[in-house]
Amino acid sequence: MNAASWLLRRLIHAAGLLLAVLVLNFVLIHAAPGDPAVVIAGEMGGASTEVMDKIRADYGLDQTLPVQLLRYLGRVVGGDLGHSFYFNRPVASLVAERMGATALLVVSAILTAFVLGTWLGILAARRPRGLAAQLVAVFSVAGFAAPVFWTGMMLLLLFASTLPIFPVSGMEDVGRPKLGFAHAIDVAHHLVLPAMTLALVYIAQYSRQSRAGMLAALAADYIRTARAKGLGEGRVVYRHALRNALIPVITIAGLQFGQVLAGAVLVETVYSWPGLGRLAYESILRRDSPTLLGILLGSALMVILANLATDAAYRLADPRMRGA
Amino acid sequence: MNARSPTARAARAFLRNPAAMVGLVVLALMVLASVAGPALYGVDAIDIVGPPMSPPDGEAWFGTDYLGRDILAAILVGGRATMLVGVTAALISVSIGTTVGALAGYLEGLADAALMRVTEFFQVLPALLFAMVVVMLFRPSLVTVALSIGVVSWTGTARLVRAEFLRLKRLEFIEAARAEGATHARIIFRVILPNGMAPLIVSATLAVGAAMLFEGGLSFLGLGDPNVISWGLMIGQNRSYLLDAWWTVTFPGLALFATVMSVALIGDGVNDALDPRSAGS
Repeated sequence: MNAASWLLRRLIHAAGLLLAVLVLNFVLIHAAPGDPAVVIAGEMGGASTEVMDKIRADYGLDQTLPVQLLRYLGRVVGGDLGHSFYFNRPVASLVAERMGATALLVVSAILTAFVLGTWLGILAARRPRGLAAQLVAVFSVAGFAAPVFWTGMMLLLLFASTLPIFPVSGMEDVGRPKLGFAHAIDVAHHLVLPAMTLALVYIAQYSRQSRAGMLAALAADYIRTARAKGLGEGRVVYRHALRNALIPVITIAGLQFGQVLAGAVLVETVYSWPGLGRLAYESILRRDSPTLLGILLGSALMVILANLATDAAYRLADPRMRGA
Repeated sequence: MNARSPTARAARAFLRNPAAMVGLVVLALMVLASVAGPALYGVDAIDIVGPPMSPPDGEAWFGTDYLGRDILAAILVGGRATMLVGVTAALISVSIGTTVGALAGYLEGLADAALMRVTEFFQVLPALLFAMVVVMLFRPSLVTVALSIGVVSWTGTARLVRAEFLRLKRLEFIEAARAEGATHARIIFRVILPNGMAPLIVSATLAVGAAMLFEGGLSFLGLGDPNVISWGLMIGQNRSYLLDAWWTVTFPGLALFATVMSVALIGDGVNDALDPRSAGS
């Protein structure tokens, strides 16, 4: 299959998934106990009659359900995800401006976990009884069991008072310039703790996976050939074996985007990172359903895009996949 | 039970696994503390027993929270909600996952394609956000929390069971059962499922741990049952006081960490015992 038709099929598939998410959003609003207008308004501390009437008219709540669904889908296609009565702003712009911060956090965490996990996995594969192998064993249980919001708060405690080398809250310093290299450094500095907290959960998984992949790769014939040619051990491991050992890790890392995103909701809350998760926390406090539903849609969109990117990367990296 | 039966061999392998034994002992202690602890300790978790945020001492071993309530008393009671929701949610999740996976793997074809589409859809939605929406719209209670966790977290089990069914249904003893005139339901539940039980048990154990963490996360965000103390709720309520009173957050988190860790160690032990080839990996 050529690249264009592959991409077209993938895009249609992605659009179908997004449509399903929208239908789910609609069903949830109507399945929730109580008047849908009240659900949409959220607990605003008594929305006025005019506001409620406007919601009923906007959403066509006096029409039949299929008509309402079509109207809802039509609005979303037009870029209207509803109005947040708490923030008093359109949900679409609220969600859109927070997506970048969350994407930055999630991608940094996955990359950190990928690099550290692969490295630990290689060390563990080369020396099965060494320190790295034992670290991997401990990490693989502790990483699964530690509640990420609690780990975050423990790190926050450590870095807020005892070892104040990383900022523990927000994404940038108020007084710093918002432009250029200095700003990038400032954001990166704020990113260290949230990304590290989130990465800890996945370092274990990736190290296990890369250890297994590495053990399999090191046993392969082409490695014996490489060694027989007289290549140095570092070159054998890092240039020849690693490439093949990494393919399964890349697949897992890409497909886990959604899971990491869910973890980011908790981590953002702990570190006041201004992304979708922090927004979700604020909208829960105000029972702001349109915003929360918009976040669900926005995060599903991010997961779909991440899966698409993983597939594409995979296709590029592994020529065997191009026929599939 | 014959000493050489596979079950007995697995049980012996499990009992000889030190990590799994540590997990079993810790879990037993945590369950015991939650069941009998509150009565033995004798302090009501909602009573104000001292000044707010007083550090751990001989009076209150784990200190007091921002209102002056005893942290240890709340931890002892809080484990009940976490464990109850964790086990219930895991049961729901494993039931849905097993049903979907078994049907998809057994029927194949169009039904399989349709069920896998549904599974894929649920994988696209970040589980925690999905559960947050459901709990908020349907009002937080232990029931809605357990249901929502179960409903959003079954996809892994479904894929696992489907793979087992696809593998097992080609084997001869399934053909034999069919030739004997066994019904589809009998083949699914009495013939294939018991043979695919080993990975399912491991995944169910880990699902309990994951569901407890999930409950902790929801309660931390303020989406647990507001009338029931749980470890996540304690951490969420005290988070603003973390820097002034570390004990209010550290101890409930340690309780959750230790409990999930014990479940994970047991799960790994069961895995190694049922599948000796994977031991040590």
